[in-house]
Amino acid sequence: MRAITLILIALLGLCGPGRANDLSDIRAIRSTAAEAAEILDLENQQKVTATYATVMKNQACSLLRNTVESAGSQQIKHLAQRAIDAVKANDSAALKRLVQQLYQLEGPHGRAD
Amino acid sequence: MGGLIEITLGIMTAVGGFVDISELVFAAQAGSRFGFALIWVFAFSTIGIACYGEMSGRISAIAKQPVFNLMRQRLGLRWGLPTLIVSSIVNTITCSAEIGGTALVLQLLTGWPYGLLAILSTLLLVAIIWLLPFKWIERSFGLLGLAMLCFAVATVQIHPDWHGVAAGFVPQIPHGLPAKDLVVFAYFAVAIVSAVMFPYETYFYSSGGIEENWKPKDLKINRLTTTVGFGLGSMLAITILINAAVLFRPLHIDPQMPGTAALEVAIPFGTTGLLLALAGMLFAISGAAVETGLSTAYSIAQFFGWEWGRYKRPHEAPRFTIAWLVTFGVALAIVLTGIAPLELVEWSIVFSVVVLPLTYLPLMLIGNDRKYMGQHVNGRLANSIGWSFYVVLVVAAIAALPLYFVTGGGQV
Amino acid sequence: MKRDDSLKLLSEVRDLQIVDCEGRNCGICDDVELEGEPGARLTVTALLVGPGAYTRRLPRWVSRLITPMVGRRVVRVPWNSIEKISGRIYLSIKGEVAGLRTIEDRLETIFKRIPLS
Repeated sequence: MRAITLILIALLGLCGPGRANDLSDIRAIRSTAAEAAEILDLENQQKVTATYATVMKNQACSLLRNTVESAGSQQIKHLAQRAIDAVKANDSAALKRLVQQLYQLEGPHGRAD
Repeated sequence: MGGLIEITLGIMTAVGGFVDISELVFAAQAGSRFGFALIWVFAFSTIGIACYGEMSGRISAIAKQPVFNLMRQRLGLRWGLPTLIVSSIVNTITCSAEIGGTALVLQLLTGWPYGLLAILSTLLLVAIIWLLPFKWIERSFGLLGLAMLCFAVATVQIHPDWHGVAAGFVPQIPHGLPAKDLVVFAYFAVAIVSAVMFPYETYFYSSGGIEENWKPKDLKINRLTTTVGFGLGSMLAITILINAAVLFRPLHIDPQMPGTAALEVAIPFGTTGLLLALAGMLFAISGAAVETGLSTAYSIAQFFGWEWGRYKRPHEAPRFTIAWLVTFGVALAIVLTGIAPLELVEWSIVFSVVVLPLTYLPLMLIGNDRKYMGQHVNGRLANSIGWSFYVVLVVAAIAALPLYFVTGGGQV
Repeated sequence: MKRDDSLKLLSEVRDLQIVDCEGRNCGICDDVELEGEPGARLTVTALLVGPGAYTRRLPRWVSRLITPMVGRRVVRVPWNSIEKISGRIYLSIKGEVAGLRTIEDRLETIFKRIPLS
């Protein structure tokens, strides 16, 4: 029982609760922005229906708004707001730039590929 | 000829009914996050569910006993009642995730408000269950869910690295992963095991065997449905993973919205592909809503010995009918609170895996009991696979909650 | 197995499905009633069915929690009503006669008023 507790504490230490929340917020914003960018591109290519694109963009904005409200860090709130503004402006290029920026921010916690 | 048709329909129903919202979400996220590295977990888990599914079907045909009757007999009240309570809660949460997923897909097709669509789809599902006999319910959703095959066609179209895909079937942990990502990988592995081996699938399948009055002559259908049907269904889930690895990973997409999965077919095939994908998702997810709703009612009715089954008219099994109506009502209420379907999926996945060992233990015990099974007891293969997987399930059950909290549901 | 054969009361009777002479499910055997005295021969006299029987088998805090919800009703099914025990308990009488179909029959009457039921 003691060993399990120590392992759990060690695992938590690897993440660090504060850092883990920021990282999961950054990942969520990055992915939502990337999804929105792709949907905008496909909408321009007429590969998705207008209804699908509208609903998905609204859902993306809703997710990002939740992050603006719940994030602890001002920087993350600002990044989420930038993503919302880009989705509303149908600016796929701005979203892709944001995605790259967020991917770099994930730093050593990013994917090992 | 009639037998061949039955077998074919059974397999096709199993294929179309295999994928639900949890497999959709986790397959897409697994592919985008870890490439092909989690394919083997899908394949591995499918062997487990095929083994237990076959066992539960065989028990239904020979012992004429559904899972929750056996659970009560074998585990007694002290273990059986907590299992019933937890599995009923988990099934209801899963049902709400499926109803939420159904409403989401309908919203993507129609643009109508989410809450309204949740209410309408629940009422429609209730009407379908009320009016149709069991076989029609199972077959219609299963066969319509075959529209999901468009994901497999998309896989062929996008020309993945087939060597890499084949290598993904070999048990592995990707090289060079930081410690944190290793923990997330472990979480995804446990989540996929849970999603593939959801308890409601066994409850529904074994109860279905009794609904359809299976006899020893139906053991062949049972074996083929669980091996070929579940196997092909699992391949369908794997194509969702492959597509995500090829299409989403380079774009840095880890799907946060269930509707993103449909892009896997829209990217190669445009609007037609998108609509087919959404149609497939609609029937697969709503079919799962029906299964989870009925599974809760089967569990409760069987545990307390009430009349049960859709082979009976609603007035002939009134408490069973009330049980599934209440399940749908509670599930809809959860959806209308505004909790995101993805969050519900996470909770149902994590708590399902905790219940799995208690679900499958009575199956293993009865499957080996000659008093119930006669000459149809478990063979060496069924026992080897069954008990090996049982160890895996116990480990997964212990690891699930810590992994969920440490990884923030796989989001760190 | 007939009711006069030897059997293990806990594993082979308790928690078994009860089926009446018309093949209808009539609940689960939640407990068995024994008659006798300490040191003397015990006789099985009845099956006990209902929340009043199964809540007694649960830990006290659980029993206190669920009894207000499920009640204390117990139906006593005389041992000589059993036809045979074979994976399930088969009665030689109808569920109504045993007192096991009260709730089901009442609900059935209500449901019959609903269209298409």
